[in-house]
Amino acid sequence: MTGTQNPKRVLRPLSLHTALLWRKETGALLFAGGTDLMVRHRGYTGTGPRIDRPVLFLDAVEELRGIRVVDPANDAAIIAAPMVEIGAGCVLSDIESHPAVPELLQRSIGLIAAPGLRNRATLAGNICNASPAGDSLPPLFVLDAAVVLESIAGERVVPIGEFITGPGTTILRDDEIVTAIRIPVHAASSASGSARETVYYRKVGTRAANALSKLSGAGIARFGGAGAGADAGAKADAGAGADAVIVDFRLALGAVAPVIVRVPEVEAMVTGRRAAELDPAEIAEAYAPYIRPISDQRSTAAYRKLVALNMVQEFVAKLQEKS
Amino acid sequence: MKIEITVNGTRHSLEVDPLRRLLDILRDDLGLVGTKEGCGEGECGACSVIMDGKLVNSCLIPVAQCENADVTTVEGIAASPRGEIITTSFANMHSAQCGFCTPGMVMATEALLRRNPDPGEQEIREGLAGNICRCTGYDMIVDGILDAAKRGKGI
Repeated sequence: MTGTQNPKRVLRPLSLHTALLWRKETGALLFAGGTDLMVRHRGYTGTGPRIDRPVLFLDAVEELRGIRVVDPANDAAIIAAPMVEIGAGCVLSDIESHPAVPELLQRSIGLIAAPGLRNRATLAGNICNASPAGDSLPPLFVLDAAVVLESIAGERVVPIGEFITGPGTTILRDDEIVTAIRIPVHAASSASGSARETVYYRKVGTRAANALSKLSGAGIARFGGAGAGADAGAKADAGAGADAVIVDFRLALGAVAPVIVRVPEVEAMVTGRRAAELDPAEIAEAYAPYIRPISDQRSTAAYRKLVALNMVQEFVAKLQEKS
Repeated sequence: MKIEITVNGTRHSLEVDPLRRLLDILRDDLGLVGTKEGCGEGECGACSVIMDGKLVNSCLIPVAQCENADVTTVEGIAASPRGEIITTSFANMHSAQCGFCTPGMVMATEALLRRNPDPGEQEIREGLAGNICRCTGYDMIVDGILDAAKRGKGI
C-alpha cells in the first residue's frame, strides 16, 4: 500500500491542458477505459491493479469526448476533405451506434468482446495497445485513418500505419497523448455495400463473444468506369457487378504479421481492372509473401496463413458477385 | 483519496485507495456481496453493475473513475418493479442453477430491457454475450428473459 496515499500518484483531470501538463511532468501511464490495463496489471483477488507508475485517467477529460464530422467548408484551415473525428475518450459502444462512423469500423467494433466491455473500452486504447490482433486495426488501416497526438508543445497528425511500429509499440512520446482518430469519409462509405462500394469484414475467433481474434480481415472496393459510372442510374444493380471497373481497392489483414498487412503494390495491381477478369487465386498469391504469421496459444502459423489467403479470395469473389 | 459515489440511490463519501476496484469497494466497504468476482478479467460478467446508465464490469474499474458516479447493483435492481419481474421469471424458468453468474445475468437483463423492452432471442443472446454460465447451457436463461419481457410489458 506504500505510495497509494501519495496524492500525486493518480490524476483524473477534467481538462486536456491539465492532462498534458501532468503527462509531461510525470510521463504517467495513460488510462482511458482500462479494460486491457486492468488485466495486464492485475493484482491478487480482492486487490487493485499493481501499477508502479503515476496513472493519468483520461475518461473525464471533456475535450476527448464526442464524435464530430469535420467539413472543409467550415474547417478549411485544418483539412482538405470531409472526415469524422472520434475523440480519444469515446467508448466503443458510442462509436458503434454513431451515424457518421463508417459501417466497416462499426462492424468490427460490434464484434469486440461484449456489451459491458464496449461501454468502457476506447478506440484509442485499442490502437495504442498496438496488438497485431487488435480488431479495430484492419478497418482503420483500410479507411486510411490518422491518429492525432498532442503535447503541450503542439500537435502532430500521423497515419495509423506510421503510428504503430510493432507488436505493442508506437511512436507515442512520453509527453504526448492521443487525442483523436480521424477517418476520411467518402460520400458512400457509411452506406453498407452500396451499388458502387463493396465492404468486406471477417473476424475469425473461437467463439462469437469475448474471443481474441486468431486473425481478421477488412476490405473496401469502389467501382466506376464502363460498368457503373456512365449510366449508374439506368443499371444501378450492376454497379458492383462483375463487369464494373475497380477504381479503388484496399485490403488489410490482422494478426498475420508483426503489424497490420496492407500492400499498396497489390492494391495498384487490382485497381483499374474489371472484377470479372480477376483471378482470386492469383491475387491471393500476390499477398502470400506478406503474410508471415506466428503460432501462439490462439492459433497456428499454418492455419492463419491459409485462412488469410482464403479471405483474400473471398473478398475478390465478393466483388465478382452480381448484386 | 476521498470520493463521492451514489450506490443504489444512497450517497456515500468514502476514503479509498484510488486504484482499488469498484467490485471490491461494493463488496468489502459497502457490504453489497450480490456482485460476484468470477474471472477478474472482464470475461465472465459475474461482476456486472450499471454505472451512469451503462452495463459495466466492476472488476475493471478503479474507483478513482467512479467519482460522482451513479452505480446500481443487483441489490438495487432486485428491489425495483422490473427487478422483481426479472428475478421471478428467472426462478420460474429455472434460469439459475448454482447461482453464481445470476446477479450478473440479472444486471445484463436489466440493461437490455431498459433499451429494448421486447427483445427477440438473438438480441437477448447478444445482450448477454459478456456473461458466462457454466451450469445452464443458457437456454433456460434466455427463457427467463423472454418470460420477464412478456410479463414486464409496460414497466
